[in-house]
Amino acid sequence: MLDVEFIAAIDELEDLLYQQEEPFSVPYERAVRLRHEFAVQAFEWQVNGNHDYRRFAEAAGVSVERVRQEGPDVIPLLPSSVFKRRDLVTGPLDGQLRRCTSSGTQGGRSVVNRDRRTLERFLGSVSSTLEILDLDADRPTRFYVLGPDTVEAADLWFSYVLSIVDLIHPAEFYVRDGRFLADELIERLLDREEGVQPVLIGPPVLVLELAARVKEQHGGIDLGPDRGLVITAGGWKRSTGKAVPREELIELLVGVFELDGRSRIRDCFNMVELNTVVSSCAEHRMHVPPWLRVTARDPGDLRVLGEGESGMLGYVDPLATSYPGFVLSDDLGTVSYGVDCACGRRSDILRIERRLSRVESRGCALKLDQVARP
Amino acid sequence: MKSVSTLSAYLDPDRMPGPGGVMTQPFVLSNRYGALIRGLLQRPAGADADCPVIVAAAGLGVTMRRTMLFATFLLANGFTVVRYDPTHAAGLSDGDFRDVTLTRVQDDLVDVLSWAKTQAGGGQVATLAASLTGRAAIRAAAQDPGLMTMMGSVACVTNVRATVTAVNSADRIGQWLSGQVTDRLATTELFDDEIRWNAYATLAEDGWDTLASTERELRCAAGVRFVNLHGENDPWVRTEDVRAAFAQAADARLIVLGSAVHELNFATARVALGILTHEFISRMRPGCEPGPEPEFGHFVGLNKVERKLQGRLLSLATPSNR
Repeated sequence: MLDVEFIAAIDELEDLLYQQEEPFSVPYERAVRLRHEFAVQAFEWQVNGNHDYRRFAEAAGVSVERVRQEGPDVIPLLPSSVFKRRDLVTGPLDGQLRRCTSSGTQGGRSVVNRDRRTLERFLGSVSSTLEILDLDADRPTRFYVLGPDTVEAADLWFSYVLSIVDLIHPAEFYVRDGRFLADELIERLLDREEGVQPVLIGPPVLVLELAARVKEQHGGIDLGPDRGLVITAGGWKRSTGKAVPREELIELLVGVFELDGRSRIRDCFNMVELNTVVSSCAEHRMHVPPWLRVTARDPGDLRVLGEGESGMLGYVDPLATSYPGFVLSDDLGTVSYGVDCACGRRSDILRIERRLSRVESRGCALKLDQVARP
Repeated sequence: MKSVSTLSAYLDPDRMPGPGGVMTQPFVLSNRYGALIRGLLQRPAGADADCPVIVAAAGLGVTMRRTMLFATFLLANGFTVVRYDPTHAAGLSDGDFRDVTLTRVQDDLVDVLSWAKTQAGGGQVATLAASLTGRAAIRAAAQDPGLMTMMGSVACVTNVRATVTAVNSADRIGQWLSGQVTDRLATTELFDDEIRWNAYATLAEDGWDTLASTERELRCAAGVRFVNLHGENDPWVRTEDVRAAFAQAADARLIVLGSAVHELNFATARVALGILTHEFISRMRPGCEPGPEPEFGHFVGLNKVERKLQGRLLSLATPSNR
């Protein structure tokens, strides 16, 4: 007699995250409904498991029922500055916590604590972004990372994220002991294996430096035949003085690396407080994954701004479980909703314009602190 | 063709330490046809010579990297793990993927299991297999039930013809049997790879293709416990075929994972591997308590070790191949 059992193994959020080969193929209207449900579940989890966040939500007059009725935009967002002042941990935890820190560009380091489930979901977000980057998990690919490996990355989130790309594809790391080894990378690119897709990934300042050295030393390196890809990630950070306009960077990179056109240059966005990666498509639009709610907020009263209006960017991210993934960032930008992109996807589109200055950021944080202090 | 008792193997004496005290050694094994199987032997911290061994075999068309998550769970629970790439398949072992056949996959599994027994001392050996490799493991158990004490599987294929048809959206075995295709050396596409029609021809000729053959072999595999995790939403393996097949085994358990598909991910793996680990412990380490689930950092750390060993693995040769 066969012993047969049925066990629930995966919920709808993780089904979308892990089991949909093309998350953006979910019809937009369905994605909006799912996002609402995920937000309710995530909010309920956070108010039940995080005392500080519960008080914050209560002070803002927001309950689970209200989120259910009115949608994810009523969820109170934590200014990212809160993560510089407090260790926010939501239980029950799954396994041990990993401490993840920001680089501290805006003064003070944010600390976000990720448990096993939160880290696995983040990796799931990274894997799901391969599709929009036109990367195939089964095709021979090698990442050339303009960053340190996991040991050297330690707690620094941006570096850690770059270092774990080799869970997906083999990766080599070209920042060691804090130094960018551009010449070593150039030699490696000249000597790389044929038939293996080369992917350069790193902060734009190092990508620019690499391109400049390649141009100076060799004129160019032909990554085109193997469908080479260049991915910038992490923004200019402290190197805003060296920043070049995006279009100029794209043109330079396409030329120096002899790529098959502008579509081979991409950008990825993440921040330590966000457990989702947002990536650009071949049309250079940052597509918001279906589970993530992004809004632009008025800096004065935090109301949700309309289509394309510039404001402080806020995120409701249900992928985070060990901390509240409801964050008001220090970035100014716009969100366009339900856009039919020429790449074939329909989604919300995120556009980050600039970082708030420290003065602006501090002003907003003070204002929020007056509203409610977790 | 060599007999199993004369297979030549080389286990790299250098052990690379990994997370939680795990030690990884690359090995090469010259299979019965003289081709090299490459793999990794991984021992948990404190493992002795009698530590039970589990051979983790990935599904057809994917490499042993896909069993790394399996390994983190098993190692965390005191099992020695052997993982490998079959010949004429994806990965680091000899041969061309175009020449893949399920019969060769079974032969390689048997050769690896036989070698794994030499690593288990007086301990036991079991198999953890996925997908079509699960079907190969069933035949291996049927032909020699002493080879393994238990077969754990994920998404085991029991009706090969139905699965091949679902994967290809075409009845390839039927096309061969009806004479629509006659050149077994001609190639056809499977996902993004090319394989020869010989792969489909041998599925029929070697008696793999029917549900009845699986049922018969499960009846023959006396003394082996079968535990299979099947995804409710598996597009390639029908629940009724799995249920019918495993009902023929003297000792079997079937778990259907709600909403799961054919491949494991972090969410479904946690459930599946948790169940399988408990089963392996009950069978092979009775009286032991399950250990804590491995951390994400273990997965990251083991990956780093294996990336570093890849070059070393490719450079190894057996004494008879040097």
